[in-house]
Amino acid sequence: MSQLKRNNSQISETFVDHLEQHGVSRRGFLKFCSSMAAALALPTGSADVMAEALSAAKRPTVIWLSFQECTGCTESITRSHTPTIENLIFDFISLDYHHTLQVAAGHQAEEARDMAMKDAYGKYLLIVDGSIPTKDGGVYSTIAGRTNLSMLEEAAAGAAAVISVGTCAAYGGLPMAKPNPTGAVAVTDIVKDKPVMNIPGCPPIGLVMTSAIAHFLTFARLPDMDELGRPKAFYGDSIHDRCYRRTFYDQGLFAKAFDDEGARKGWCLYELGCKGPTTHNACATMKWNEGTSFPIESGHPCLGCSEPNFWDAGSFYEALSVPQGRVGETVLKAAAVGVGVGVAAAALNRSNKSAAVEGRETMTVEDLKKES
Amino acid sequence: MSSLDRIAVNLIDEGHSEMVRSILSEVVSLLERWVKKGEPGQLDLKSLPLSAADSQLLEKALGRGEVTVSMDVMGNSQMIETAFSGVWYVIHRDDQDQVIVKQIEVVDIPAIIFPQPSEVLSALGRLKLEVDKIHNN
Repeated sequence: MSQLKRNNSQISETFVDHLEQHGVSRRGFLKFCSSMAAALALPTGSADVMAEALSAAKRPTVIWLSFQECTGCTESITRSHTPTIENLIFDFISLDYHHTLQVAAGHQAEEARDMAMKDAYGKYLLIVDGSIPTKDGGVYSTIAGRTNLSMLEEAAAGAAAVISVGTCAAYGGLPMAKPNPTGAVAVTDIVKDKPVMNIPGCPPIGLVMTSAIAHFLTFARLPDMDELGRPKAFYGDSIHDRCYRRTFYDQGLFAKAFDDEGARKGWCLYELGCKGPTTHNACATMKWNEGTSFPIESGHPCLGCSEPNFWDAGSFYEALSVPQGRVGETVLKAAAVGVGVGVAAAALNRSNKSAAVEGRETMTVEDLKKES
Repeated sequence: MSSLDRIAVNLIDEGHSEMVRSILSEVVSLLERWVKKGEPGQLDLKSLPLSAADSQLLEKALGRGEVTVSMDVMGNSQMIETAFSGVWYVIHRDDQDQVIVKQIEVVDIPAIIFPQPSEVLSALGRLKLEVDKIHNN
């Protein structure tokens, strides 16, 4: 992890200087660029462009603010199992404030943040995880006596760009789940005049975060984003479209319970509540735990954790994201017919999703126990 | 890698070779472009939803050529020529042996293998010094 103190020589260090100091050769650098270009789905030849741009990239100041969150997002990134490649970027940035990781505490920590913002005003990258409580003046979460709301407003004013890490920062997440007692909102509800990129997920994949920073360093801008502010390279496809079990969906082969023959044969988990058709994320191809698997590969339906309001979209184990009593029988019948219904089902699910949020029922312990 | 590797995995023939057929068609297009226009091409396999059975099917279809280049930089990398000249598997692993890049490259020889002129120049200087040392001893 990056040191949390900095000096002038560090700030003027280029990425290539940094690599040389760490004993990384040119081929190692090209290997790094290849992995970043592949992760970002950049066209052929982009690794060379990236190599040229990153050669001269200067060490960026990064301020990381954690608000109403569980620290799972920081865990996801720092516990990543690809330390060499990811740390090349993560060690390179000048992480000047992260109150969970930094050694400094109290007034020293706040001074470090103030100094970093002043020194790199207009140029620093602001990373936020956690939602922002706004009810009762934002008193439900404070740091050093200041509300999250005022701290975000101040830090965002001097940022070149903002990255919202995790579903809480991106869309409000769990703190915003009904009845939202703290009046939690997303970063984009507060920050309106800066480029903001969302990297949702509960938690998000570490490499997505690193790649986004690499893109910012290479092209001096955030990557192309979808309508929900997510980088298209990672969130452009639905879990369903990239799922290795998709073939069973197309054949109408579904597991009906977690221990039936279909489950044992690895059939589609759609009827067990899989939210893959309405969820956009890179889990199906980037996977977790040293590339071991992702939830569906481990036999559990996708919860849809990278989508807005996923906590309020009904039971995780109810088929489709539709209100109770409106389960999409039409879709299920169509699915049983065979090939080509996936897109239609996904479209129907999306259109039903807002209704699902409104028509949700409170999840009970019985829901959690439900196996079919 | 972890001890997970020691757990036996039974591959099920899932019968969805459509993905493999699509990839092979893409490789044909890339190779045609390389032959006719001299433009190299890449196909990122890691971003595709390939099952273990798919991967095996693809490897079987492309076969193995005569050349394999191994590189130890920040983890092992392998450039493996397939049975079709100009079509390479390029696999980069990190120092935990996790695959970080797996792609098909269509080119005579993957670019990462070649040294840069500046590196060769530097090597010449270092080699001369070594030779001088030997002569002086």
